Amino acid sequence: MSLPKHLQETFSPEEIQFIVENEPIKIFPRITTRQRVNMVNKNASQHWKLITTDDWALNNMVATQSTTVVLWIALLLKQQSKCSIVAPEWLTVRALDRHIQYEKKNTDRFSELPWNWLVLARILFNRAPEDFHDPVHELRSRIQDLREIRQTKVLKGLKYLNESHLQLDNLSLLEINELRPFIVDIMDKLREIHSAAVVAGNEDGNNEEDDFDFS
Amino acid sequence: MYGDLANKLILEAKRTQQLNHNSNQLPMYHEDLVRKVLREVTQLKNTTDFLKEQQQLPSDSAIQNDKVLKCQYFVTLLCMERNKRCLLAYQKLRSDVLKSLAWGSNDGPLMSATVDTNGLSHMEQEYLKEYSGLITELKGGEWTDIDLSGSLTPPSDVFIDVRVLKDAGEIQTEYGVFNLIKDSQFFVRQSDVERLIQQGYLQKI
Repeated sequence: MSLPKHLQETFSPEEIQFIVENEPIKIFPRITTRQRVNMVNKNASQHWKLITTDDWALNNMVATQSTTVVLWIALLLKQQSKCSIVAPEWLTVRALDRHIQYEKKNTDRFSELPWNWLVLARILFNRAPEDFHDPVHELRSRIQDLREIRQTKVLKGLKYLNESHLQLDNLSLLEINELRPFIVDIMDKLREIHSAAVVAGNEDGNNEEDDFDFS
Repeated sequence: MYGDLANKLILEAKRTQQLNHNSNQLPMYHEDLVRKVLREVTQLKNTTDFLKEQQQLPSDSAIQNDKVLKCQYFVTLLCMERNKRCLLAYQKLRSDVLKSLAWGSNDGPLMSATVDTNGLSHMEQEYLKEYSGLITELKGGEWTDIDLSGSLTPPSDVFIDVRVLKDAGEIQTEYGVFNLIKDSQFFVRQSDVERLIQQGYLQKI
């Protein structure tokens, strides 16, 4: 088939990264692309234009003045050391410690990390390690801690798989993605068994549809 | 019993599936087994013909006979259904593998058909050829500017380092000429060499 089997019902990690790379992020440019006023009219036609994303920010960069661009552009600029990436505010030792505290205190829920925290942390640690205010190894270990705490919670939550629904508040995209094949398969089987029993019991064929709540 | 032969075929299909999980390869077509199953179906067909004749014969206990005949008919039919299902499952699995082969490797810019066609039945060879034709037609139609059979991993780096694995002389790609000497390295745009990586000449670093 045109789509290989392992891609047919879930995303690959590379695709998750691709999705995350479409998010805006703050950078400090090291180049200036803003034209001076008297030059604008003359050179306007030579300016670049992007069709995939908003090019205004790119055309108005002033060195060391923070601006917001899409992550994939930021990474490209970073590769050529034409900018430094500003770490998001949740990616600091203090904020991560707060999240860890929250995770430990509330054993029945996940803390409010952004949906792309794992992927974004990995990308930034690899590509922009010198742009953090806090030492990277500490951030790394905290991210690892958070991941482990949340994983144990996920394992606990899997006991409550049922045939109707599941609530996964604040679970990030990567965490959902690695669970998806497992959870969806099991819930499908449970629902099949359940609805077969219902149909056999009273010929009442209103089996429920997939209403998993991956919020 | 009827259906046992078809079961063997299904076990074979299962093995193919597991083999295919690791690598895209297709074992030999089990022609003799399929032929045996088909012979069984022919036998079953003869049985039904015979039963039909029986029904038309005038007999003394017509109602009694009718019930037995119905049952025999039905079971014969079920056996045929079973055989049909197994045959189709086997064939569908193989055709799925063929399709993925056709999408995966059969269509570089050189259209190098490198799939080994020895293990296939000639029907399957025909199918593979025509399916590849369909893919080419699709790619040549409305969406020529997108390489539909290209890599499915999202692009992450624009430029990559590649190392040449096989000596291939001078190869002309659409974007220029490479002199592929074994163990030399290039720093090139990924979209230029994606094809060559797929065909195994280059290794991405």
